[in-house]
Amino acid sequence: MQVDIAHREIGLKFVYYGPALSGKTTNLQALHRVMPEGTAGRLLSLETRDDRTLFFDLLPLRVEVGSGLKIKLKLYTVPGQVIHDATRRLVLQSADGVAFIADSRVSEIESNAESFRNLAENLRANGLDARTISLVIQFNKRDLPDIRTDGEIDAMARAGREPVYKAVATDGKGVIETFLGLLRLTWSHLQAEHKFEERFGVDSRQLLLKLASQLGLPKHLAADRDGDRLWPPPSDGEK
Amino acid sequence: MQLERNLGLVDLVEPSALHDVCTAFRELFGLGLRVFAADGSLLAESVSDEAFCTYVREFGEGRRQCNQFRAQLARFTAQGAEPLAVRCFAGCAYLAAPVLFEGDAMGKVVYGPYLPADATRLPSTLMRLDTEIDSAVISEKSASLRRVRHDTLDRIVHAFQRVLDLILHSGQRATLTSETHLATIEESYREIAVKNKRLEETTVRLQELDRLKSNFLATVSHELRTPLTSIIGYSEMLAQGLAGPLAEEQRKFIGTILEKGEHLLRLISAVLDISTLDARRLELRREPTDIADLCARAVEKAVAQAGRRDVRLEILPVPQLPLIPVDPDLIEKALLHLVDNALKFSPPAGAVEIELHLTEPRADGEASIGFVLLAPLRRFLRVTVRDAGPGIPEGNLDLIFEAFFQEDGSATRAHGGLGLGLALVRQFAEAHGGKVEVESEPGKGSAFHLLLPVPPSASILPGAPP
Repeated sequence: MQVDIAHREIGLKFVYYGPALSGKTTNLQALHRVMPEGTAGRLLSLETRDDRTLFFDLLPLRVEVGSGLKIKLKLYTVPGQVIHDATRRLVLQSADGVAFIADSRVSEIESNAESFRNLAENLRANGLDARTISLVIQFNKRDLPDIRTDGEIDAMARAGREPVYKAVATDGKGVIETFLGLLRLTWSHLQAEHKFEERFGVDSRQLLLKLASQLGLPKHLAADRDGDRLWPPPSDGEK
Repeated sequence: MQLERNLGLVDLVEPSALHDVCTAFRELFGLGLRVFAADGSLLAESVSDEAFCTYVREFGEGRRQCNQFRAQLARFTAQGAEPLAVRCFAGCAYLAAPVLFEGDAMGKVVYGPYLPADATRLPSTLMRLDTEIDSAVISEKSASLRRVRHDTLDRIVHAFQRVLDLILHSGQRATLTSETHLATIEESYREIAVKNKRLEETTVRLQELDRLKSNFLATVSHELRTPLTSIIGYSEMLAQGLAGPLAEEQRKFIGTILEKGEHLLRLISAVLDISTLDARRLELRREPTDIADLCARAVEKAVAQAGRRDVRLEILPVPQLPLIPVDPDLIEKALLHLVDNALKFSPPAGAVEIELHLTEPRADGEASIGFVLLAPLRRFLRVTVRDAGPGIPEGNLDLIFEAFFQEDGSATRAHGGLGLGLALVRQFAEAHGGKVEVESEPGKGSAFHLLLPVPPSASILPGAPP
C-alpha cells in the first residue's frame, strides 16, 4: 500500500493468483470491459505467443471517492505455470489483497490445492501471511461439466475462513462480485490497521459505495442491505 | 530465445493504442488513415465517412468498384522508401507510405481519401457509372472533400512516421526485454532440471544400495536362523532325555542354552521383519479396494484366536464407502496386527469391535486457511479397532508405535511378541499417506484408528455417501 497524504492518494495492489489456465487474465479482461471510461487504464498483458501469461497482466484503476481522496488500484495476475514461480513471488511483493481463482472441475482439485500451497509459501517468502492478508477465493468455470457441486463448495466455504465466489469469467459472471468482495475485505483490514477514516476524514461506508458507483457497478451490488455490510455476502461462503 | 527473430508490427504495437494515435492525427489534420501490417492485414484505422464516397457507393457499380479498390489498397505495395500516390476510380487520392523500421518495411500507412490541391476535375468515367448519377450532387459533395497541398501531405507523413518510430522503438525494447527475461528463466529452469536429474540418479543409486542392504540383512538373518533352529531342536531333544538321562546340572545348562537360543531366534526374526518391511515400502501395489472386505477377512483369520481367549470379535454395521487405492496385502496385515493386539490385551469374555467410518475434514484454527481448496484432499477412511483391555498410560501413547517398544516387560512374556506389530501398522499406514492414532483410558480400554486417505475422485464414485 502506498499513501500520499499531501496529494490525498492511496495506492493498493491486488493480485489474481491461481493455477495455470484457471481464468485469472479472463477476470481482468472482464473487469476491464465493464469499467467506465476514465476509470480503467489500458490493460497491459505480457503474453507468450500461445496467449498464456508470461510475466503478468496489469489493469490500473483510478477513482475519486469524495473529500478529494483518490484511490489508485493496480490489479495484477501471475503466470500460473509451475516454472514461473520466481515471477509469481515477484508479482506478489507487497500485495494488499489476493483473489485466488480456482478451476471448479473435479479433475483440478489437486492443482488448485497445489497452487494454494504455493501461494502460502510465496506470501511467506514476501513476509506476508495467508492467515492475515485479505484473501478471497473464486471458483471459476461454473459452466463446465464435471465440476465440484454448489452444495459441496458452499458447505466447505462455510467451514473455511475466506469469502468464496462462483464465476463464469468468460461471460463476466461473478467477476465484479469477486473484485468488490476483495475490495471490501481489504479496505476493512486497512481501516482497522491504519484508521483511514480519521486520517482522511472519510466514512468507509460512503467511500465504498461511491467507489462502487465510480467503477460503474450495478447499484444492487453496492446496495447497503443490512446497514452493516457494504456489498451483499459472497455466495454463501462468507462467515 | 529468438533475439534474431524478425519482429512484425503486430509484435511491437498494441492495435488499440495505434487506433488512438490514428484518431488523434485524423482529428488534427482532417485526413483519414489506415495502418496495414506487412501481410496486408489491417491493424488500425481512423477514417471518417466522406459524403462524396457515401454518395458514390449508393450505386451498385460504384459500390463494386469501391470495394475492389479498397481490396487493392490492402495488397498494394510501394516500392522503395518513397510514398506513392494512387487515385481511385472516382478520382479520390490516397497516399501509401511504407512503415520503415531499421531499414525494413514492416507495413504501410495509407492516407486518404483527399483531393490534391491542384486537382481541377473529377474523372469523366465517374458520370458513366450509372445513369442516375447527378452531376450537381457530385460537385457539391466533392467540394467537401479535404484538399491537401503536396508539401502539407509530406509534413503529415513525416510526422506520423516519427511517432511510429518512437512507438516501434519502445515496443521493440519491451519485447526484447521480456523475451530476454523469459529466456533467463528458462535457462535457470534448465540448469535446475539438470541438477535435479543428477540428484534423482543419486537417489536411485542410494535406494538400490538400501535395497541391497535389506536383501543382505534378510539373507544373513535367514542363514543365522537355520543353524540356530538346529541348536534349539537338538537342545530340546537333549532336555527331553532322548540321548540318555542327564544330571541335574547338565539339565540346567541345557535349559540356559535353550532360553538364550530362543531369545536369539526372536531377535533374528524381528530383524528379518524390519528388513522385509524396508524393502516392501518401496513398492506398494495399489488397487481400488473395499476396506470393509479386508476387515472381514482379517476377522475371519483371527476368529479362532478370539475363540480361544473367549473374546467376542465383531465388525459394527458398515456405512457405504468408496473403494480406495491401497495395497490390499499390506492393509490386511495392518488390520491383522491391530486385531491381534486388541485380542491379546482383552480380558476373557471381553469384546473387540471394528468400526469403519468416512471422516469429513474439519476447519479448526490453521486448518481453516484455504479450507475450501484443501479440504477435498483431507478426507480419510477410518478403521477403528476398540478393545476393553487394561488401556495405555498417557505417557506411553507416543511410544507404543516405536519398534521393539514394550509397554510392560511382564506383559511381554504374558502376551508374547517383540513390540513390532504397531510399528509395522504405522509404517504401512504412512506408506499409503495415512496414519495411525490411538485413544486410551487406563482401566477401560483402547481404540486404535487406522486412517487411509480418500482421493478426491473417490468422493464422487456412484453409490458413495454424499
